[in-house]
Amino acid sequence: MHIVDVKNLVKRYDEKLALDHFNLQIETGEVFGLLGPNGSGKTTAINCILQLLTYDKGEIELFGKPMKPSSYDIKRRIGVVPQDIAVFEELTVRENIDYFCGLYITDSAQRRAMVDEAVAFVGLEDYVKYRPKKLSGGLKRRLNIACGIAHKPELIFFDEPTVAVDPQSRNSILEGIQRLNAEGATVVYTSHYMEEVEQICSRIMIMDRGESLASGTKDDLVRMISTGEKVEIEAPELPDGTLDALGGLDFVRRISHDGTTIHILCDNGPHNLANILAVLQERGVVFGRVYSEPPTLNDVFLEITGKELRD
Amino acid sequence: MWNTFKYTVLSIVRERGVVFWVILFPIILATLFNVMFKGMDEGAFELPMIPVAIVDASEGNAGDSFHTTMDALSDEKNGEALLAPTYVKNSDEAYRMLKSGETVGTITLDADGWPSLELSPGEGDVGVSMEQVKRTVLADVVDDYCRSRAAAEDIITNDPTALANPKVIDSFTERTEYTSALAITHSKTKEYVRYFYALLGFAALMAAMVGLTAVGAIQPNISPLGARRVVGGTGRSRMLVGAIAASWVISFSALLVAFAYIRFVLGVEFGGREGACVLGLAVAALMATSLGALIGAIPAIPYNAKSGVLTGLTCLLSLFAGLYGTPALRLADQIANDAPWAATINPAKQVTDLFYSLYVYTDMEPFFQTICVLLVITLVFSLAAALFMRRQRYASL
Repeated sequence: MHIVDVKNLVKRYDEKLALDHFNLQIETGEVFGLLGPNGSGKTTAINCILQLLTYDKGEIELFGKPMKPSSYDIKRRIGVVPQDIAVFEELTVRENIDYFCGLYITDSAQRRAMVDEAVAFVGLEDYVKYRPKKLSGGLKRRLNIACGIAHKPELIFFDEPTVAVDPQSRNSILEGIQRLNAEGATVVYTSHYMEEVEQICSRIMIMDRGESLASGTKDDLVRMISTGEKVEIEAPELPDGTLDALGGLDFVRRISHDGTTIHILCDNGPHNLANILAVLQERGVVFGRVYSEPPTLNDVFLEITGKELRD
Repeated sequence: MWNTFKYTVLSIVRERGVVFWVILFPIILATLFNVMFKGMDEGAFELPMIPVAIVDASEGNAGDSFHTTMDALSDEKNGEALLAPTYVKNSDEAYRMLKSGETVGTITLDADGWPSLELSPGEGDVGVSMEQVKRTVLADVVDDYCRSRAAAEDIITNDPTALANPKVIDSFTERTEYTSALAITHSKTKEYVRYFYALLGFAALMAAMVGLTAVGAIQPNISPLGARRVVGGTGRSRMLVGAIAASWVISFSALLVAFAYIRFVLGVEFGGREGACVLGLAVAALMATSLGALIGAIPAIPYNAKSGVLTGLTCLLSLFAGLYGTPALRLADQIANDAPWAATINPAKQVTDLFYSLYVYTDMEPFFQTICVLLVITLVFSLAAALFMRRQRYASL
């Protein structure tokens, strides 16, 4: 049974197709990443799954049951951390967390312990009596997260939770998500930051223009494309013909030398680096440090869509 | 539901804008009204002592009866002195006083003690002025004295034995009233109280801001907070009940504070029916909450725009309830006469009428009729709000 099962979801905003026969299957215990540029349909997909938005076609099941606007038994098992900070400006940090936890847990004694735990989880112990307007952007994000997870949901949707936060808060948020997953929560994480998705997600779906372009583990995705690693070799002096010899290797897609370093973009394949180094040794090239960077999700996105992920 | 109620109350009472407009502003306005309008009725129809010059040319005791009458009418001990006579030596001095405006008239006694009256001309008076009233009263005093004296002298001349009858003597001093004053109102009416009642109508509409804020915060298509709350594990109807109950409690409390200030600090009368006033305030708060919920539930309009719409509506409807002074009061009366339906559908006017009916009518029926009208308005607002809020999903956010 999939914890999230979306089939053929179609959503239009007037003439614009926001989701085009979108399919999504997530297993229990995963950290699943929805990766795509702004406007690719990630948030729309989540809002449809959560029954905030109407959709033209498709089926949505959560925990093996059809999801409807009034499926409160299902909603009580879900946590939501929206992209926009959604808290009461007039309530304190603690009151906000207690309010949102109270949407799921009616017993106040039980809730008190959960609120304490959520406060500690996001590291807001020193700010419990503060109102949100007194908090920095990063602390507000943490509060937003605490409000979404305090009731210990089994499935948590994080919609771009690190937008406009400092690196320290970002790391704290990502570590927290990994801890939640380690404690048993299934996580759906949307972002347009490939580094974050690479860092925490066990499986990734790449989206663009409302379509699912590719899905799998990072390694699965990288294997799907023909682009291989990028190799950089420090070599200030190159004997004549060296670049031509390297360029003649059948897996070398692009090569250049900026006076100190050789830059090589390879096709996907085994032993590329070993073959490049063999050519350099044959020609007696003295080289220094060697860097080999495997293809990134941005390369995957670039190859599939023809544009950069951050375009 | 309790969770929503509790935190809705907390979040709204901590919002400075709401606290100012819903609680403080009516109090500030009431204070201003107190300065502007309260003196309007007090003393407005009290006739001040009428200054009159008296030139006494009577011989012997001929003017005694007139002087006795003057003494009685100018005796301040009983607090009802009508005239302020000044005895002058000659008509020139009396004329000077009359011309300078020091007196309203001059009474000259001839040798036989009969008075003749000369009044100030009163040029330029438009309508019924206080000066005209004074002149009329003074003329009545002199006429009355002359009639009584003539009657007495006639009896003395033609039937002196009649003077032995005490009833005849009494008839000279007694005045028979052929008309009697009948109280048709519950209280002695004072015009200025209507401004305070209109102010409560205004305050009720301002209190709708609370419902607007509370309900708007549950609408997914209005704020991220609304969207976040709706995807939670509590049913939307339960959240709505909590938010609306909280709004009503806050609105009712705000109106109670305004009422208590107006009644007990400013001393404005409500016909001694404070208990019924509280019931009226509770119904007014219900109407305000439903109006706020309706405006708060209108889709695709940002909160600030809705707040502006409500403020504009409050000011406009309060104008037709007579809030802004005498011209507005006359306009409200005219609308009530010429287009009663327009007054009926104006919630500010209905709240105003609620208190006015308690103040004016002996019977409670007009009050309960107004209560019913307000409840119908509440029902209509609530149904319209429910139409907007019944959607659980949206085509876009």
